[in-house]
Amino acid sequence: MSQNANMSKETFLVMAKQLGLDISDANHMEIVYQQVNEIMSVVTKLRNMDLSDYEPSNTFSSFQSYDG
Amino acid sequence: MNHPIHFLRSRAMMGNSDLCYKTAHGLSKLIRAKEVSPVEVFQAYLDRINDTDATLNSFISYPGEEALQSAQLAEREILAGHYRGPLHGIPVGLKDIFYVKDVKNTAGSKIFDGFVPSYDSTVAALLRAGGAVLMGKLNLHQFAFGPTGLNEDYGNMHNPWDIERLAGGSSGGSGSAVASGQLPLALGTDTGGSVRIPASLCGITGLKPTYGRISRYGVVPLAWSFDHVGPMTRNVWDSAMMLDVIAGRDVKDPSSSLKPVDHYVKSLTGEVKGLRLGVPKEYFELPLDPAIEKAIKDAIGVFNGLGVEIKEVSWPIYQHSANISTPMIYAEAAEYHRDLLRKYADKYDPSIRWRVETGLFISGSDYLNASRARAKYTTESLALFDEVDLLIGPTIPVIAPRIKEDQVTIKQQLMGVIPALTQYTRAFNLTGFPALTVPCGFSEGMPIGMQLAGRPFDEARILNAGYAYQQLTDWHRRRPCVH
Repeated sequence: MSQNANMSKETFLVMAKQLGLDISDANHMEIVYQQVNEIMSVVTKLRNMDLSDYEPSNTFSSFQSYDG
Repeated sequence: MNHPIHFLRSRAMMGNSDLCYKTAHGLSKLIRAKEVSPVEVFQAYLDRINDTDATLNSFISYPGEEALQSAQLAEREILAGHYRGPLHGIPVGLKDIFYVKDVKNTAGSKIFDGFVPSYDSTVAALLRAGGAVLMGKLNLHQFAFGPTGLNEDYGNMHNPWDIERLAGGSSGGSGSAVASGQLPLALGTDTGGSVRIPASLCGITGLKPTYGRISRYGVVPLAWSFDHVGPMTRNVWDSAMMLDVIAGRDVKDPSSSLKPVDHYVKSLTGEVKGLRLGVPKEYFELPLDPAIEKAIKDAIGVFNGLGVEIKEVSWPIYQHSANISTPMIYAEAAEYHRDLLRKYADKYDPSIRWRVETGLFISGSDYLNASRARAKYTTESLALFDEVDLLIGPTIPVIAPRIKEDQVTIKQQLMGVIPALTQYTRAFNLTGFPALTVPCGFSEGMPIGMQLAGRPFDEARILNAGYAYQQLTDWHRRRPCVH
């Protein structure tokens, strides 16, 4: 979804409805819209990091064998 | 209430305020020596809570008959020679996010106001087994999703040093209760700083141990892979004492570590000569109140005087902690809250509602990309410990903001309160590394906290460094005046 960093308001509202959000409060949805665009810009920044050597962090077991 | 004649001293000989400002270790010694009874201790703290909670609002559920019965049981057991250990008869408060059987658990939201768990969280069970007296449930930022300690449903928490200022969050009730003498010990949870932030703002000691060191079973989640349980206490010794009781493997928590547990109190030698302390230069490139910078440099000077080797280190990836954490925490919180939100959207604090809703827009692919970034962040951060044993820096870049402020000014720079409060804490939730905050000064009458962090499972070394510092300083002994 990071490609949607500049998502249109219309697209946002369609998605919000599909996700089951109550979209009746326009003021509230405007805040969510701004926040979604903000988080998508953060996600896009992460796409620019070189992560070629890294698999997803497996938090639940990462330290179970740590011997440092 | 009948006090046994077998305990040597009465409350008339030792005033309530004396008892209420003793450390848990100090109380423990008195109880074991039968100089003070657990019921006297219970009553002293109950009186203190009754005297001060209208001002502080630290509690959601007050200690009731069951707490008294627990204190009476402790008294009988100790008199009968059955001493369970250093927490026997010691009052402990739990953030209202830890399940305690048959006690209401709200998670700071009216949505759960009628919810009563049918079982104990693992930590509550361990505290009970250790003889601790569970003293009610403590206020928190709604769903533990915020660092300020503001709560529309149960009222804002107040900082005992200045009630017009934030206690911090999300474990704000735990912070204010321990700082104000309402409790000697409390438990909090920490997803982005929620133990360390209120501990620092309220002038107490707070430990976020390594991810997996303390069970999260029976604790309402915020973001599973970031959530940690941690002690909030008057000094480092008490944190070590509490950790000795609650740390360890729990098969009910899939993230619980198999690594053997140290004996944390025994590790408190105060000997730190030769320790290598790293000072990340990136900490001081961020907005930081000059008074706090000075306090941290003074604390570094104290360590230097103890024969600790001080070394500046570079931590370039540090700057990415918020960008990696935020989408992951939002997505995990959205997954937990998805169904609740559909039923009770209007009952959420608006600022939490929009964060949870935003999390629903984060795709699986985006989450996994952030998780890969987290792996890189953790690997590069771990490499710091090839050069040094511990990292030192501020816990928070400002003193407690005023309750109505949503922005703070640091060195002429305007900054949101939330990013300011979490500036130095989130990196250790992202990596899971242990981190401790201890008081290291005051500015404008408000406490300043210093953060020590280390390798995974190196709590013993971190606690010992904090203990050595507290042997030479008295910041942790200062008391706020609350009526």
